[in-house]
Amino acid sequence: MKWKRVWGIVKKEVKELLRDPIGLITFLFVPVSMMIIFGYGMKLEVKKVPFGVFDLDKSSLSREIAEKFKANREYFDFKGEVNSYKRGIDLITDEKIRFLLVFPPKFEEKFKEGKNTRYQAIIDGTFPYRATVIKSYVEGITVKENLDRLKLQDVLKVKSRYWFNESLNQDYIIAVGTLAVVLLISPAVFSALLIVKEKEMGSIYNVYSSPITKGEFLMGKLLAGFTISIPVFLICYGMTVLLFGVPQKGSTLLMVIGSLIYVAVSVSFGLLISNLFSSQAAAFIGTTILTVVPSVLYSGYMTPVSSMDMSGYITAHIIPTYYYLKFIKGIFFKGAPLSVLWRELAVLILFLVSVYLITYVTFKKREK
Amino acid sequence: MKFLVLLYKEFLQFMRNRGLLIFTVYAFTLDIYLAATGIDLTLKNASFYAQDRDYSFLSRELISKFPPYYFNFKGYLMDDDQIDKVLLDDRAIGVIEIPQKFEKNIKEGKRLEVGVLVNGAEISSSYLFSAYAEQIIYTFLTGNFMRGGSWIEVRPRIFFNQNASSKVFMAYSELLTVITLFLLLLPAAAIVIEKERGNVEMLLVSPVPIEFFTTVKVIAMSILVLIFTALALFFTVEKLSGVPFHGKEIDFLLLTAAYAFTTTGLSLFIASISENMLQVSQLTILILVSVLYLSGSWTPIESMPKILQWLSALSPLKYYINGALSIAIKGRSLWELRDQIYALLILGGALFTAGTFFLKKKS
Repeated sequence: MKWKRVWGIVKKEVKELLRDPIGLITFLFVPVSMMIIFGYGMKLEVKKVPFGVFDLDKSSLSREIAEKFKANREYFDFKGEVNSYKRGIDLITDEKIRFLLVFPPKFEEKFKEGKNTRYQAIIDGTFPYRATVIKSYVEGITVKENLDRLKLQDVLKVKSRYWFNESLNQDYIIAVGTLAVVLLISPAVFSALLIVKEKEMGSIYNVYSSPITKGEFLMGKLLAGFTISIPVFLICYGMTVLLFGVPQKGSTLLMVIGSLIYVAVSVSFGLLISNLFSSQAAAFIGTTILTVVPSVLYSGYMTPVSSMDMSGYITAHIIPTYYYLKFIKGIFFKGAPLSVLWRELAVLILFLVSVYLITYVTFKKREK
Repeated sequence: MKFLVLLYKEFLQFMRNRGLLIFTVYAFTLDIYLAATGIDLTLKNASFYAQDRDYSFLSRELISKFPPYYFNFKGYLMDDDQIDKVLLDDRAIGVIEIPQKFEKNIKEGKRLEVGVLVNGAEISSSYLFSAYAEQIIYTFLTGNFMRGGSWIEVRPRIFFNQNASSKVFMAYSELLTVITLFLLLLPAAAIVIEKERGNVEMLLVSPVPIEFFTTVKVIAMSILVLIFTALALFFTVEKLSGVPFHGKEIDFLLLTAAYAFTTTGLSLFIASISENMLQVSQLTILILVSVLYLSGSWTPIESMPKILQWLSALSPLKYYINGALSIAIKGRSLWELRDQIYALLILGGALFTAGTFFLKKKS
């Protein structure tokens, strides 16, 4: 392998990008905006939920419970009472409110007779996560109300604590997960165009007819994608630590080494797609679909791998993001050393080598 | 006639692009199926352990109260080191800590505290785990503790999707995302590739005006996306994933057509400022992610900061999601959703005018 030729390709790609200011700016701006939007947006917070009340009892008990909801302005937003059940359902259907409290007649009477009494909460189920969170809010308020009434609030305690350390809040976890997702998508999508653009423009014929070997050509493209993606890594890593303020317990050197290997995996995946297809649109769409859904949904970023079914569990293990996420969580939150994290690192290297080899085997130095 | 010839050319070009065809089929079938069936944002099958310092009849009874649909009991842990291990290795979402003299204190009506340790490293399930677990434990404790006195219960009923199944939502939300991705990309890619190859210059000297040419491309791509949407709706969503559709399919498609008008307007806009596919691809992702976030499908719009709430009025996906989910899940008719359609058409009109204007100015 003649490294001079390899560097020639790297230099060409870097120059090409530098001479395309709009391309360069958008390329660097995409990871930044993804970090910000995912980092802040993935919180899945459910607050200020609009709700209504349909009170058929109009007793002091029903009013008291409704008051508990109205008083909690951070979580609920009272939109008013309705005077018919149908009107309440219409408001839900119309997205004006997300849940409706219904107090039946004799709600208080039953309670005073010493029987258990019951009211209803009708919740809009269009967004299932939101619906279950609202359900838990409503149940939580009811439990608290009972504990207060039975004067048990100081006797019975259930305390939830987040494990590892108190400084580990959800924002940090999301920021670190977002880092893993963005470092897969951005380098892969960029590299997905590296080979196919030459095919589409016809300049690939220069490559076919020149003395450069396919090993040199592919290595050049890999290193080009990698070099260009280094700033993306630095920006996203910087944002994770500085903007989101995630405290890092472990070694920075290990973090950089592991991340660069992961970036190389992303680049090699983009190149593979770029090699297999003959139009930039196809390569871009393919890479986007094949990276976004698995990395967001199956890597353990959104949902825990431990509660996936068998097929989900297997899918998770064939996605590099799963290993990288484990790796950086280990470094950021546990300060784990190489002796603990070598396995994840080894798997990432295995990904890199095998994807590169597949690209090497499938790349033909002639027209198909 | 000119129109039909050009339309035919676009279809032919699309069908001959084998890679694009493969991924389009993949996106509208397997991709949606994977998202619908593989992922659950609500609490399901959540692995947990218990550290039981009492190991009495009541403490074991408490653990048995965790319903298997939501929870998955993995076993008892002896010491704190083990808690560390299962939580740090992400092998469980939580650990229930039952104190010594648990049964005795309940029977004697003495103070007692049960702990719920939650693995902080999970976005969607850590909150739900602690909320559900607290509810179950409180209900159990007060039930066994009761010193007389009556009890207020709430019966939550979830409308439109009784089990709050993620499958329904994920199937449609992935479908809408895929539709958005293709509507944003295809027209822009089709126009920019002509720019890259220099065909636009040829057009400038031909009798076909450039806006006519781009309009045909937009229409062709919209028709393609609509065809795939119909296929995805009948086949992937209803047949493959087994997700019910409550409205009229034609309403859904008409709404999608209105959305296609707006989104291809955005695509024209991308095409007008892009010179090459690198720019198209990066701008597409940029717009896709922003439009997705502002649509309110992740964070509800009412819990966003005020400025983002206003900005969300500009996300066409917001109107489309509301409309499409209303038709698909709630079974509403198009006429009831005319406001969403007006919004889409107004937004689309503005985008189309701006996009065409810039495109003409630049060439």
